Amino acid sequence: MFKNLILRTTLFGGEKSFSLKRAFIVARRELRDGLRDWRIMAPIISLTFIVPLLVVLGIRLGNGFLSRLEPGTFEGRVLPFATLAIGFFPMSFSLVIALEAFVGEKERNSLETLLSAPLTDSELFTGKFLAAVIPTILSSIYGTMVFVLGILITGGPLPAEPIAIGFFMLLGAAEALVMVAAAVIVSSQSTSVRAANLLASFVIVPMAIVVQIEAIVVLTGQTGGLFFIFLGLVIIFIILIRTGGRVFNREEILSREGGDNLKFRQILGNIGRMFARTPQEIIENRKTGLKRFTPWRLYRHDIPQIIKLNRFAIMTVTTALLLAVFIGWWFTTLPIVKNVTNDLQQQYKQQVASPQNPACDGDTLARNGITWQFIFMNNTRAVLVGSALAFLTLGVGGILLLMVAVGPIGAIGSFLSQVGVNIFLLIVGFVLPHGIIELPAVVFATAAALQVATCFVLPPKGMAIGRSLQFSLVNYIKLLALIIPMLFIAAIIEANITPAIGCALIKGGLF
Amino acid sequence: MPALLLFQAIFREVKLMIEAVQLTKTFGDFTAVKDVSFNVGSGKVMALLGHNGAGKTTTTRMLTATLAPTFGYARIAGYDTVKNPQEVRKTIGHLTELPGLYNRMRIEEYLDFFGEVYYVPKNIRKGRAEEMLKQFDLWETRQLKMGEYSKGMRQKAALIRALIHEPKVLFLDEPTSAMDPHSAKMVRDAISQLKQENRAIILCTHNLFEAEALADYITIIRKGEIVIEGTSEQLKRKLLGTPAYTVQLAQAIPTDGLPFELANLVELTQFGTDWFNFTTEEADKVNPILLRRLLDNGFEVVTISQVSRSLESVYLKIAGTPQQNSDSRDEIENSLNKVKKSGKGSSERDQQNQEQVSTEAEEVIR
Repeated sequence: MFKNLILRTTLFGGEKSFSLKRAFIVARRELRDGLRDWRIMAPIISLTFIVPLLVVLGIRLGNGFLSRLEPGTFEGRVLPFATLAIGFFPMSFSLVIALEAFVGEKERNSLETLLSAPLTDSELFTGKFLAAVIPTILSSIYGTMVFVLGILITGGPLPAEPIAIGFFMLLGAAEALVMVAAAVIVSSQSTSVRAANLLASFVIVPMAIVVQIEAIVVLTGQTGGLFFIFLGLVIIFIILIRTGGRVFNREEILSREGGDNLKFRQILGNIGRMFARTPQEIIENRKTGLKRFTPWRLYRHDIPQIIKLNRFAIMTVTTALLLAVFIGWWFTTLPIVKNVTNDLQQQYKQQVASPQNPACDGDTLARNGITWQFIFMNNTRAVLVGSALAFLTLGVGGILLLMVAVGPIGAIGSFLSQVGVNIFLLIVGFVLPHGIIELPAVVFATAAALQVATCFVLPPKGMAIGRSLQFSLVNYIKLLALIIPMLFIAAIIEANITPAIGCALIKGGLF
Repeated sequence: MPALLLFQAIFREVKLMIEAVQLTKTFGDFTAVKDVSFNVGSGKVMALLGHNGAGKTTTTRMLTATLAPTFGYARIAGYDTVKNPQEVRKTIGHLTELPGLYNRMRIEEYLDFFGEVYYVPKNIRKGRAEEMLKQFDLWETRQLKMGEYSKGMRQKAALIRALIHEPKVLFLDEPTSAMDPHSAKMVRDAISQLKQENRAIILCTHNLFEAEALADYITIIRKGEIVIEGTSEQLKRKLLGTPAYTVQLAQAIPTDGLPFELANLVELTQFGTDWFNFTTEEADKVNPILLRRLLDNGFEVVTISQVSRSLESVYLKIAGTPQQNSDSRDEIENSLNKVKKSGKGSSERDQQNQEQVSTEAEEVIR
């Protein structure tokens, strides 16, 4: 079937040819080897046969208790949940196979032989992936079927609708795909099986959370929500496969020796060298003859290169920012919000368009502590907190924080435009003077933080994950040399110039 | 036209199979291999010698298209290792330093897997595997899982794996390590046979006897740089001086010395009661004359033979000791410079020695 199936893919960079048949050669050997390993066979038998039957037994023995549940709860919720859970159990051993995929071979000294064989990166990666995912999916389906048959044979009803059972199997397959893809990446980036096992927490913990959410969804009868979880898993799987292709580098795998030790000096050395070189020099691993680190070089070469490198992240953040303004605007046009805020609108109009607007009184602002120092510190803190949040949440937190901060601008704009305030003048008077500097600074910072957070997903070609993290962190710090002065200038404008322009417009009666 | 034919004939005979040009590999600030260049033709064996960590494995990995050079390039059978890695990998057989077998597999399954990976048709790979298993005495143990194999058996299994697709180019890293003498000889014979079959072979080894016996060229690498290269004889000549010969006579040398002029023919270096040593650059011309003169003067010659000089002496002189490898950078630099200048140094020493020996010889003759 796969004999002539040759796909062209850009997934794995330089080596573009990919043959599924050849990936299956690797997978077949792995499977044959794995099925002779009692550490793998014992859990397969236990989790796909013994455990489902024990659950059936438990359900039958607990009949008395279960019959006391509300009518429909047992059939409609408990049994479907059990079916879903049974399908997940075999996932645990998928990690044993997947985590050993590369690093296990490396420890057994058989990896170099395989890497010097005529297999492309994509064939090797896919072969290893298939070897771990095929038994996992088959076991998940088999375990589910054993459970369903067990329930039927012992006189019970079908644990769920046939279509739901089919969907649970599909959901199990999606979970297997995600877990195995993530574990194979971990394996290709680890220096030892021990290190891979430690890193497996990054696979197990998120998946445990997903399963708990699934449990809540099923037990509360909102099974439609499972579809969104399935969709999310598929998207994550695609991202992981893309990441796997990007970070798979046979040179890195072979060169990475004894990396279990935390080498702070080496890491600091690497970071120091990254500061001394431009991003382009680091990516291309060559020297361009530029001087070592100087402020001139930083602003003339490094920062423009970083902004260019971050362009997709900048576009993403800008889109999110515009979306937030739009959502804010749209929110206040909802009839329910409009009715509530009619009075408020009038008050705001009077405040904004009035010469008594506190913004028009420099002393009032200063008395309330709204000085340029305050604005600068506040904005800097917000940027740093947003960045930290982005680092910890794959960028999502940072973007959401920015959207939450910017969304009200859209809402207020809409709010005031509904009562006749000239929105264009409002922007020109109160937003643009400092915003023209402040907003790009915030966008650059959030984009750089997003870049750090997602460096695992899309590291520069040929760069290992650790190095990619160091690289994006150094870029973030270098970019602060632009962001902080921008925030500083914006704060001075916001405290001194913006109110003057805004008030001039107000006093001129332009509102 | 005849010139073209001659050119083709020559190149059909010896085809350039391994070409390394200024290969350099750096890892961060560490330079593992620097400016390494060499060529290996078909039917030739090049031994790559050096201490552990000298850069042999990195060089081999660049040639097998598993590491990309930082600078320079390499071609295997005409294929660039960076631009055509797949073609390179198809062309080569690579025996790594550690066999790294799949312990739960049987040897036939293992060879079948790699045969398939290397595009060997199923009907051919089975027969070829059987043939080689018999050649290397593993046929009887084919039912065992490879985890049950001894070290020597594992090494042979890995070697068969490297040969299963009959590669034109072979990289053999310590092919006889952990083998008993019988198995080691079996492998050496196999390498000689491969050489006769016009394969180009790079042999990384610490077994200097093996290197001398099998290699056409020897390249010694230290701290990532080639410090000397050439045939075994060239290296010995360069580093150990002119070849020395010993003449064993049936009777004692008279107390007043040999009764004929030798000084203008050879350089006498040592002598005993019934033997003497000499050096000459032109043994094929000088030795028959010397023999004739001895016989004409009534001396019965028992043997005339070359004084053995091992590659080990050359190696130790060039590569130094492993302790020296851990010296400070400056000391290593100095050491490398000394090694580079060693040709000059040794010839100066040789000259001094020869002058001293000539004086002694003249006294003997007198």
